[in-house]
Amino acid sequence: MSRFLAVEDQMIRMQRDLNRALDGDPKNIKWGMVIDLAKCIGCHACTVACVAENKLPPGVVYRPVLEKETGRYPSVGRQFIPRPCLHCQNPPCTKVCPVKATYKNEAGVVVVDYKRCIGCRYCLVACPYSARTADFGDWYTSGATKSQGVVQGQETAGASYEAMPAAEYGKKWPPRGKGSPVGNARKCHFCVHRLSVRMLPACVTTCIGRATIFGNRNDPNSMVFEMIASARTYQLKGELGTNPAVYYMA
Amino acid sequence: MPHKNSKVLEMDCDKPLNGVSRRSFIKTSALLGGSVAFSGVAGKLMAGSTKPEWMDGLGREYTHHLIENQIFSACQQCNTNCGMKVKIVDGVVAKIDGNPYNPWCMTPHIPEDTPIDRAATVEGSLCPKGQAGIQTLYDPYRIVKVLKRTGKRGENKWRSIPFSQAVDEIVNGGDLFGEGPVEGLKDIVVLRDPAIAKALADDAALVASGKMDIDQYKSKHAENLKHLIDPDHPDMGPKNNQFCFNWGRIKNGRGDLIKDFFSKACGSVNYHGHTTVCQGSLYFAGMAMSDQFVEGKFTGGSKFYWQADTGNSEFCIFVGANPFEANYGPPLRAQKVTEGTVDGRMKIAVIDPRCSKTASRAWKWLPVEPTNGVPAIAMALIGWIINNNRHDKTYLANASKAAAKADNEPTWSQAAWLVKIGADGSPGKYLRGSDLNRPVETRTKQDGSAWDFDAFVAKSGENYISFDPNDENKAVEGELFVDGTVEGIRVKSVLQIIREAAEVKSFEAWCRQAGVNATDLEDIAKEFTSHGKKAVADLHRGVSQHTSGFYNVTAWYTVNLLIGNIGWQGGLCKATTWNYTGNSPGKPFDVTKRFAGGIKAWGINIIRHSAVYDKTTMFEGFPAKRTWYPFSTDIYQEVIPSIGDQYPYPIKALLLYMGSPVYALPSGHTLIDILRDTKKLPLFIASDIVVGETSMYADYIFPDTTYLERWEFPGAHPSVSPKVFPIRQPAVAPLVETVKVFGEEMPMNMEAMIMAFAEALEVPGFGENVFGPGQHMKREEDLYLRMVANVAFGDRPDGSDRVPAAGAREMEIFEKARKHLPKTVFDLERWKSIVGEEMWPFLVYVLNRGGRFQSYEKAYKDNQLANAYNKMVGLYFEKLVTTNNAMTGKPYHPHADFVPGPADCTGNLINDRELGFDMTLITYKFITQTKSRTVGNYWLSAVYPENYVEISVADARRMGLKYGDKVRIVSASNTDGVWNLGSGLKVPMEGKVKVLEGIRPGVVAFSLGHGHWAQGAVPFEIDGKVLTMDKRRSKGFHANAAMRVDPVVRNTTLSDPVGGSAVFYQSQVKLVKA
Amino acid sequence: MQQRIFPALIVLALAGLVIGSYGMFDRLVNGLQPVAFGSYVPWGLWVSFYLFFLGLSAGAFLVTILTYLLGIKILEGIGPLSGFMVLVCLFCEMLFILLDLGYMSRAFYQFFLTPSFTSLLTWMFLLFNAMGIIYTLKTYFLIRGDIITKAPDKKGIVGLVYRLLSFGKSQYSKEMEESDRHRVHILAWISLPVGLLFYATNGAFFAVLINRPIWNSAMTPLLFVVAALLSGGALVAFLTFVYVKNGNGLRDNLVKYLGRAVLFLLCTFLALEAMQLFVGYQTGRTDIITSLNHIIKGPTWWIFWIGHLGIGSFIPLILLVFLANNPNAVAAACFLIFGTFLSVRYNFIIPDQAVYKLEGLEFVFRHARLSTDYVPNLNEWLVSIWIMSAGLLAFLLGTRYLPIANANFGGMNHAS
Ligand SMILES: Nc1nc2c(c(=O)[nH]1)N[C@H]1C(S)=C(S)[C@@H](COP(=O)(O)OP(=O)(O)OC[C@H]3O[C@@H](n4cnc5c(=O)[nH]c(N)nc54)[C@H](O)[C@@H]3O)O[C@H]1N2
Ligand SMILES: Nc1nc2c(c(=O)[nH]1)N[C@H]1C(S)=C(S)[C@@H](COP(=O)(O)OP(=O)(O)OC[C@H]3O[C@@H](n4cnc5c(=O)[nH]c(N)nc54)[C@H](O)[C@@H]3O)O[C@H]1N2
Ligand code: SF4
Ligand code: SF4
Ligand code: SF4
Ligand code: SF4
Ligand code: SF4
Ligand SMILES: [Mo]
Repeated sequence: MSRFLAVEDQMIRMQRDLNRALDGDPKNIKWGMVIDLAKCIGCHACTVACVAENKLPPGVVYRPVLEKETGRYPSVGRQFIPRPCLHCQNPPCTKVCPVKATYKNEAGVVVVDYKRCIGCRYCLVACPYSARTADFGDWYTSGATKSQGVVQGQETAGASYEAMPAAEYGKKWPPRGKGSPVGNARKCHFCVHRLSVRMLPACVTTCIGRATIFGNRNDPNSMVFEMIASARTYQLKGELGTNPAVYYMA
Repeated sequence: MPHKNSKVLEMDCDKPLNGVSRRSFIKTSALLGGSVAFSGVAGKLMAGSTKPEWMDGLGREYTHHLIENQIFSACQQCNTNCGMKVKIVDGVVAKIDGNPYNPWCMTPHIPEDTPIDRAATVEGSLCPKGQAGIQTLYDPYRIVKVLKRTGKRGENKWRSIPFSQAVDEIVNGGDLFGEGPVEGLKDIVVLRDPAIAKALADDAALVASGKMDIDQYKSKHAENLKHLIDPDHPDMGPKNNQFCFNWGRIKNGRGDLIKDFFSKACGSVNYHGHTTVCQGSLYFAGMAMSDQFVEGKFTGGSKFYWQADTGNSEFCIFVGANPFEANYGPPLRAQKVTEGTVDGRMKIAVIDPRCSKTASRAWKWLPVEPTNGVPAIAMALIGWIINNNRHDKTYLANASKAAAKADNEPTWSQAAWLVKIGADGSPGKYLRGSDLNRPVETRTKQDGSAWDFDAFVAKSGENYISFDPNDENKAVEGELFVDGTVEGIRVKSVLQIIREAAEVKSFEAWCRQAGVNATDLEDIAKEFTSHGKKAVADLHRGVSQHTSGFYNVTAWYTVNLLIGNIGWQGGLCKATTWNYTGNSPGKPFDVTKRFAGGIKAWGINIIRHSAVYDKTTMFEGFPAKRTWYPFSTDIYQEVIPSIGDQYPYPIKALLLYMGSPVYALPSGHTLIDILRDTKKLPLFIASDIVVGETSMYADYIFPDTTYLERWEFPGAHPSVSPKVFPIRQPAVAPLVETVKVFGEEMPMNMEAMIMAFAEALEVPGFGENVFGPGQHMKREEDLYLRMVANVAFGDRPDGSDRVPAAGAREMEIFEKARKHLPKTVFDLERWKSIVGEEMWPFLVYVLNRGGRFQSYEKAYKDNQLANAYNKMVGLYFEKLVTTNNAMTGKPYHPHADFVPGPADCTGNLINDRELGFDMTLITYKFITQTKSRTVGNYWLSAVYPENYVEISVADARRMGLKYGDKVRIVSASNTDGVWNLGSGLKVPMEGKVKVLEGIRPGVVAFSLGHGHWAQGAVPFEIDGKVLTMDKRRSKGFHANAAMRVDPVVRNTTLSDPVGGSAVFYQSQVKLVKA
Repeated sequence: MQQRIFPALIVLALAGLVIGSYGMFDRLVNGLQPVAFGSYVPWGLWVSFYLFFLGLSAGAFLVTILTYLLGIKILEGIGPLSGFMVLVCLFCEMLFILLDLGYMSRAFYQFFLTPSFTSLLTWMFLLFNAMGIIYTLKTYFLIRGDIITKAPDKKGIVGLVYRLLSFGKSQYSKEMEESDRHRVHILAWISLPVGLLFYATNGAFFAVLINRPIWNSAMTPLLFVVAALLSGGALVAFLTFVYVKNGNGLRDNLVKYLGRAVLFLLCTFLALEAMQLFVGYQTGRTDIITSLNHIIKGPTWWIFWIGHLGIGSFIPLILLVFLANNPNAVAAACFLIFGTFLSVRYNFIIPDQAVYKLEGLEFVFRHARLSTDYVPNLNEWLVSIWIMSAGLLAFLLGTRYLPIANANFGGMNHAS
């Protein structure tokens, strides 16, 4: 092996890929992701980063990381499978929505229009990957002490980080409990609010193992394009024909 | 295999790697592509013109990407202290991400000269705890007022009182709790006159060394004996020492302020950290190994350790270290390992009884037997490498600096030095020139006095060559394996001694002892010796926290030494930071000089560190009442038990800062009775952000600002190769109340508390004009900004190492980003005036980036580390062999060896297995919890709500247990398996079983962070109102109380008598169905 | 219906409304926060109840089709009652689904603003509304004659309602009767495809979902139809027993006749169910077997064994076979069948959802709503009680005060 010194974090390359996509023809953009399971260390940073970025309430999660043990003692392995929405190119979830509240946009992102969604949860049931969760209006801080003054108390704490939802889809949502997204189906949206301001998705930038690769899968110069071509790459439950735009590397 | 995305470039090994002009380093401007101003699609969106369809429906409310909403700082959700970017919306922390300038978050990190506008949309990684930090800040159970107990200690009944009242009560004392008079700090900090202090101290030293008679001392100092703790034992020092400070997690800046308050302002020797609960023996083995030969003594070793240059090594053995889940730490190290292993640069092997996440990705996992396996493997490797001739003979032969230089080696070792062997065959002192009747040379010390240089000796052929290890001109190389007699003296070389220790058992026998497969270990040995200097063994708690921790660590470092990898790219690395105290030439502010007029602290400290029992007046024959620790400091497990035993003297007031020894220590339950006893500990003050597992026993709890609201300088870790200085700075308005100290308004935090004590006690170092005329020390930033200035200035006296000055845009951003901070925290004019108009732009440049970070390529030079450890490395510790162990009366063992355990403090082996405690208890950290302090982070509990009693499939079958069964953990020193909180409450050590393939049979593991009994996990009362508990916080269990209590001292966990480590992995337990 | 039972039932319904109102209040104020279902079991008790009522309505629908389209005379006596029954069931269905929605208010307009015809839910919405309209009209035209003619005799509120429903008419002429008959017939014709589509859509609604192995089968719509006929048929038989006057043993014959149909349906249903279990277990697929095990030996095994097979199938089977000529026994059997049919619905809805769709999902990111362990909570029961009580009340009042149960159209011969 010859001597290497890393010259660039892959994050920088992806950032460049992102900028190139945004500076180019918008019609050419098809966002995609590759998750390299060999590099995933099961740290759950992506899960929590996503929860934090999107201020997800209890019971709502866009990107959990599944863990399982493989092998028998003393030859044991552990596998970690992060599971965002796979942004199926043939999504079973959007077809079932009765009010077109969820759809695949031009850039291949399956989004939910919180203002339309009636909360029937048909799409939750239709997604073969359990990638959608519904917002039942729960709070993380409920269950903590209500006292205030000497300790911070539930209300102050809640008001500080739970009451004001994140700017998902770049929008200002009403204070928690006063309307959408409470009651709606929620899911990973590839952080379109970040993409639009030239930021990579939250789960990508925080990925400690550098297992998550994101970019324009239509751009032959992008990292994601390269990775999709790898022999290690496959699609989760490929047999279902959903054709996810999120690929995995074994 | 060069990666096809060209993320790594092949480097030309013959040419130096440094220099900005190298083609391999992309120019900043080209780095990110795109333009600063939004153009293209995003630009159109921002400009409100036609949007592409995929952006339809996207609003423009997202503001995290705007640089004026970001403050660059440093995380402290765990001690890795990664860089972070705090994103603010409406004055509230909305999101935390990784700081791309900081090498913790990216490899390589972005160049320092990247304009911060460009960095606004780039972020590095953080672990889940870092991501969840918002919930530490906005914890519903955070205290915002001073609490004073109304019930008995530990009853969890409190009253909130004004800050000034608390300060007044603590300083002046009185009948504070209706339980009788309590001495205030002013009654403790009594010795104030530096001249008297010096006279008392100097003569006390004479008394201790037998050069002065005690009666003589007493009569000479009759007038001032009142200042002493015990006039019969003047070497205990002044009463000031009865004011004791104990901290858990502290870093520079803050650390300087509070430690200096104790040591320099109050003149107490009792300020003790938590090192030994953490990885003490790793640090103190490093300290012993880094001792240099200076003016006739082995001294000056720093409390430090080495880690792998993870990003460049080709083979790394992680021993009892878990960089994917814990360690220092996941964002800093994991990327280097995953990219390295998957992209083909490196291979790793993991030695751990448990298949940690790191182990699960290793080329080889050795499920080592926990009690004695770690040193056994080291000895096996030492023997194998030497016997297979795979050690680096050229490196090891170098006995002096000149020899190392000649070989282009950053370090040299004592491998070839000769040691005298005693009649019983045991090694003693080094062979010296004088032993061979060679003349002793008189030399001059730095202070002008004289010292005798008596040369060391190495053998070369038939010659015994005298040498000075520090000689820069005379290159001495010695034979590595010497066992002979010279001038009638039996001598052996150091490496010979170590080799013999390794050859006590065969390779296979060591492997059997360690419970590992010999073929696997042989493969590892081959691999380790096949990459030149780019192989490394990286150690952590699984090596150090044993009764033989010191020897385990030195044995493993010896393994590294055999390939001479210290200071080499891909080998062992050390931390390097900029000097911030300013005590070096040319620096703008020397902040260490502000205690003029204060006394110099002196006396034996309560934990008897750095002190030799039989050289004090406390010597009463062997064994001593408790262990003495001549070779380590910060022995966490000794502080409170020593207070309990009032040995060597009683403590009157204890301040605990950001630590939870009851929770964190093995057998921490033994501390509870002591803390509850107001006779043994009359005053107990805690600084905390919640009512914690230990602070709940305090008399007063002062609220503190969290890491998101305050200053601190986290320093670096050994695996960080660039020179760095990360900065933690206030990112959000403090949630605690505002108080007035020295006439200044400030948040009620630790600094305010300390400064208020200082103000009331009128001790030096605080207040008016301490930094010079008109330069006060009245606020935290008076100290901290000067420190930042020192860093911005750099380490060259001529200022050529200074950062660039912030331009107008950066200055504007700096101010805008802090618009939400109140005047009590940020006041531009005041800040500027502290360091001066001229310095200011340089500070802004550093603060805008969350610190100062050398670029990655500059950290390497000619295949070596630019910031390398480049001194002698000790392998044989003469200091140890010439010092008596207080418990055995015998000298300490002087070199790396297999020392069996677990042993009590007198060295006797403990065998609880015989009593039927058939499982060895070990512990580890899960990625989502830190110590006692992240249980209130609900996002983290969602990922991992409770911990488990983890056992192997074989054990589960044997015991008839399955997933989810409840069992209780009992041990010989805790047969009930409970935490007795003293107040009537008992918390059982009971958890759900998890059955795993990935754990060694006979071992039971649990992760740290659950099973709480404070911080909202139980109800408590403030001002007569009951605060309800949050049941999520009491989930799981905490089994530290099952860890073995030392049968000799009885109120303390098992410990390493040399390196000081508290022992986490050598307790035998039994699982009882609940 | 016996005069004694009526007030008792009214009291029951009112009590149900009172008791359930707490749950309704909680639901309306706190949205879906009070419910126990979550994201991995997004549909719970309420959807089961929806299907339960769907089944009941199907039975009633069937009677109306048989009566007014195929002209099967024997059922004429309960024709209007069945029409009304369909309406009440639809009413309950609607409430269950509305309350199940996360964003209820949007259901009232979003379907019109952005309907998606790729969704079977849209079709269900349309068909449901169509059914509502058809059955409102049908029921109305069936009872219009009685309304108009009896209006003068009625006092108070009832009188007001009668007069309102008369739309100013005071005479019910032969022509009017004729045209109403005609209308009913037309509506019956329309209702046939609409109804069939409606019930089939409900099955298809589940059947089209991939990765839902228990549902995702062509068997599902079939099973749905049979289940609907069985539970609905049982209900009709029971209602016949209760409501139809037993002049000339007409009622008893009717009940016995229906009983035979129900027996046939029950056997068919059980056979289909056995087939489903057999095929399911034979696949050896973990997900399917886990689902089926959930039914057979899961924590709620008793729903299947005791509720469905024991009380809901075995006892009725015995009664229907051995006491086929005893109308009381037949009625009792039918009551048991439809009364326990919720267990069938529950065991349809829940088990498929009770399996994690990805291995290991149960161990990550824990929350009660991210678990497949679903047990309906008090709130869900209270709301269900409220809705059923409302339905019962509507049914009682309708049958009591409107000429539904006793309406005798005198046959439909003219119109056919
Ligand atoms: N079972 C088990 N036990 C272990 C370990 C293990 O692996 N397993 N690991 C050990 C290790 S490595 C270590 S380092 C020790 C650590 O042990 P300690 O140094 O005692 O540290 P913490 O547990 O972090 O305790 C910190 C306490 O400070 C308080 N605190 C939190 N934030 C702040 C703040 O901002 N300001 C102030 N003033 N107080 C604050 C909280 O109450 C918290 O309980 O634990 C050890 N204990
Ligand atoms: N998530 C998280 N990360 C942290 C911290 C935290 O609290 N939480 N704390 C930080 C701090 S203060 C520290 S000191 C570091 C500690 O970092 P590490 O020392 O790397 O981590 P630990 O989990 O304490 O222990 C390391 C490993 O030792 C193994 N081990 C246990 N017993 C034995 C044994 O007998 N022999 C061997 N060979 N291995 C054994 C454990 O299974 C574990 O995998 O982590 C830091 N990072
Ligand atoms: S993963 Fe699920 S939610 Fe995402 S697009 Fe595919 S079906 Fe839809
Ligand atoms: S829950 Fe919302 S997005 Fe999902 S199908 Fe129903 S309306 Fe559509
Ligand atoms: S892309 Fe964004 S929304 Fe999707 S999982 Fe990642 S962080 Fe969450
Ligand atoms: S952040 Fe990256 S490494 Fe960590 S769990 Fe997620 S995908 Fe895996
Ligand atoms: S490892 Fe995680 S918790 Fe520790 S400092 Fe880094 S981001 Fe913070
Ligand atoms: Mo630690």
